[in-house]
Amino acid sequence: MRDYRSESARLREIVSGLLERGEVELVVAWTEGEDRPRTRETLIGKGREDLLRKVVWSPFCTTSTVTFLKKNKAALAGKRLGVVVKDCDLQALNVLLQEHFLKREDLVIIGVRCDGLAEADLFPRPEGAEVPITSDGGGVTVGKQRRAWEDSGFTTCLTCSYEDMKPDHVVGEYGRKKGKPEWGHLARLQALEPGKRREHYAALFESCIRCYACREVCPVCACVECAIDPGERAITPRTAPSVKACAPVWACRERSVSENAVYLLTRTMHMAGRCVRCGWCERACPVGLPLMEILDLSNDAVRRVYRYEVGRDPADPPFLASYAETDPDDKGAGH
Amino acid sequence: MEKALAETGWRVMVPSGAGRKGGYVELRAGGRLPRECGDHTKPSTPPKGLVFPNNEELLSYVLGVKGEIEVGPASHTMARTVLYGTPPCDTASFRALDSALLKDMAEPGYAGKRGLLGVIGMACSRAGRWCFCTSVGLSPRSNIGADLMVYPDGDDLLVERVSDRLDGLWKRLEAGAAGADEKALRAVEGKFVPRVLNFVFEAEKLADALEKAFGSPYWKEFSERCVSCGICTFLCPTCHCFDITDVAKDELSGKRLRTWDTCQFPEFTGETSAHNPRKERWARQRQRVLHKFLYHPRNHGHMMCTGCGRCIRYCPVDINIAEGVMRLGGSK
Amino acid sequence: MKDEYIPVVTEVADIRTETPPGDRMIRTLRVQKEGKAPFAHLPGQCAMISAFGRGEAMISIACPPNGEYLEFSILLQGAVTTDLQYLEKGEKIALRGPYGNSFPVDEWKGRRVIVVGGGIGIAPLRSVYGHVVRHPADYAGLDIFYGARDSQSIIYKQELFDLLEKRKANVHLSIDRPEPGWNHFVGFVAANLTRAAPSPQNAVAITCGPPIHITVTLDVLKKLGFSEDQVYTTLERKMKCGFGKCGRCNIGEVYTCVKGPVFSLARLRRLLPEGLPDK
Repeated sequence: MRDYRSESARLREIVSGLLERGEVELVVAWTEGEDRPRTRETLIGKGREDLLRKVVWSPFCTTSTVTFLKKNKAALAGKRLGVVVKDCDLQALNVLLQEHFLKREDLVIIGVRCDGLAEADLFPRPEGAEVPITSDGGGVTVGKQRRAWEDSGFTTCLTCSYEDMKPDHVVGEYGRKKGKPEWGHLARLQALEPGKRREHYAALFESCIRCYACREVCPVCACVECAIDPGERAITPRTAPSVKACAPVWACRERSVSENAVYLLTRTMHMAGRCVRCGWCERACPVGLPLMEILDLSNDAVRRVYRYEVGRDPADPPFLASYAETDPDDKGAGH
Repeated sequence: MEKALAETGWRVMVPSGAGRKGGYVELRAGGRLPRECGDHTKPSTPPKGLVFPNNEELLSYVLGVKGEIEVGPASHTMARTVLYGTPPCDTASFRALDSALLKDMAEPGYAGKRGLLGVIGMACSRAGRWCFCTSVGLSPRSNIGADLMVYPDGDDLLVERVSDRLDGLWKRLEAGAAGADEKALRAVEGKFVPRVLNFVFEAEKLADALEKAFGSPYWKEFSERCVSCGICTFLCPTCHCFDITDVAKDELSGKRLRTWDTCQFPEFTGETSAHNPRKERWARQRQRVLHKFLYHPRNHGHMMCTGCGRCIRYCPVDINIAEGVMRLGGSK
Repeated sequence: MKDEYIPVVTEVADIRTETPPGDRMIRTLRVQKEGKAPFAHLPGQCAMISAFGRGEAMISIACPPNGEYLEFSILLQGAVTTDLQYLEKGEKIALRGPYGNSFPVDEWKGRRVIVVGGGIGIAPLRSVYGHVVRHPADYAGLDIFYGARDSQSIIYKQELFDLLEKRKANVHLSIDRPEPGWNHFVGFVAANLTRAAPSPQNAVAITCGPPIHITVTLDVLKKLGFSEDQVYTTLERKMKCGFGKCGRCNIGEVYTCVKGPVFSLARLRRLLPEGLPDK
């Protein structure tokens, strides 16, 4: 059985130590939120006892600290940072390191061994200051409430295969056997005849409201100016008018099947070899789109056909930037 | 009620249920109206989309090869619609939307549709862990924004006439109903949530306190984990900021479209010159909070927040507007 | 009920190329509908001009009210303005307005009006100085301080030299760096203003230009003794609807497109600090 209170205490020791000794200037870690057992990412500097005290590790650390790094890149540039990462977060971090988006020498990586995540909102608010959170091979317990892993609201965790990612520091021991990515849902989709398949996807694309939460929460969707409807334009007062005038509009603002499809499918293509299947996009989606289903079309090809393991090693070449003579041709892809 | 509504021939929209799929949907012929409402029946998408859809065509245009311009106005109308069974947080959203979009000058798209919507609000029997309607001057029994208000009482329904907009329906109901009065209403009230105890803050002091806190360093801390995704504003029943873009069909024709936008997107205030008065996330989050709790109250006399809690529940990074407001408003 | 989104189609009656073609091209378009101004306006107001397929841009009306035409001085910036720069005389252009508040030119009767413009910022100010020139008896005097980076970038050049020559206004032109043949002030507009040191006595000063120009000019005016009620500016914000509904151009509780873009400094300071142009 894993006791997250003691694991959190161990994590706090490591984080405090790094800050005390000046090995890092700041640490990005989860802290207990106001609405326990929810947690939130926090930037902690030396001397912030008020925040250090709340540092926590549990199956409710459901956000990605790597997303925090990507969103605050400019503000944190040049600083030595400690970052607490779960297995999938470290996978995502490796993707960003492969692409030289972040520098390994700026980071001290504190890994927390993850058995899976659970939806905090499925549990009643715990009473009292000390909340025992534990887990084992079968499920998660908060105080007296227990839920099986399958009922905890995180389907991608059930098929997670990441383990022992080799961070600088480690907290916790795995309490559950890791799974493997499972593509049964894709087989069902591929078995649909074209007309039915089109209906299925059209219904999906129609519901998208283009809030771009999937893009913003994704730990590896880190382009400063996104190709599709950029959230932020990379222009300065010196940018020539012709450059601004000719900026392509691949998907216009209309929320329709065609424009939404351009956005969702382009993101899928750009994620080839980069998506770590953390599932945060799907969990965040306010209208409940099955986004992993779309991304898995590309994930399946990458893993099964090209046998590329995403984010395994920061020294690996990025998927789309690598080529091997043994790569299968189109016929081998089987879509 | 089902019979009277069916007789009007109007489109009836009801909550499809809690959760992220569905939103407010059309009641099928012969379908049953919801018998209760609360956080457990509240969909993630609010009802504003009925009168303020994500896509609204504003005009169409055809250009001639010699430079002629033909502009075709858009029709902003819709079928006569009744929204039934909204909890007070969603019902009251129409007060905020009406103030913002109709006062002084009417926004044509909204104005065209608003007159064709009747709202039948329902008293709330179950608050959720993120609800805080009482802190913003509403309550689980509030009828603000409603044209009729219903209070379920076992198999019965107590119906209150709040405005004259649905008088056609009211007369039909009166014909088949037993009389009721204030006393009956008081008797039934005990079935509904009296007060919501989450995020209690003192509304009267809030606006001034927030104004004083304009330069507070807390805004940075409040928004350091924000990812500027727009969920809070897209799901908010009162948020109504919009974008206007041209959608070209070919080189010579197309349309102008109004779509939902959010003050949280970096380019919301980004000028073509590259100057951006709200370049930082904390400036944008501050704008959202102050718009709801300072600017809108100053302009219209009520908060632009109904305490529905969706922004807190669905924010992917656990940003809590009530927490922020309580921190800066000084009350805890 | 009038649909505020539907623009009126008008004709480009005349075009003046103010600066040479290139990335900083400015052209002044004179627009009429059936030989008259498509709608009446007050000095300082703006209109939303359409470039169909690209979008709209809110552009200041750069001429005083006259009933005959509207004029817009358009600086090449991005997609919409690029399309507008391809318009030729006689072609059609669609616009809607007038939007925004105006400079209180009636309140200023009897006073000396001091205009301080930088770059394209002179365009909205022209609606005021043009009005003062048309009604000289109503005002105690007119000073125009205006500068651009070089002499080619100065717009309304002929008109301004004409005013100077005919003594209809004290015109103080400047360019940022020395140029052969340039006999006027060399340096920033604010420096020229400091040199000339106009008196705040019975005067009102209006300024517009890039954010840095406004900031520095406000400083100089303060040093010269102008009170915050005597200084007006017109601000720029990204705008979409133009009539106070889309939520983006607000400064505090006020929409720049409705209760602005003209603000007295006193009013700007009362509104939250977001109103002050950033440095």
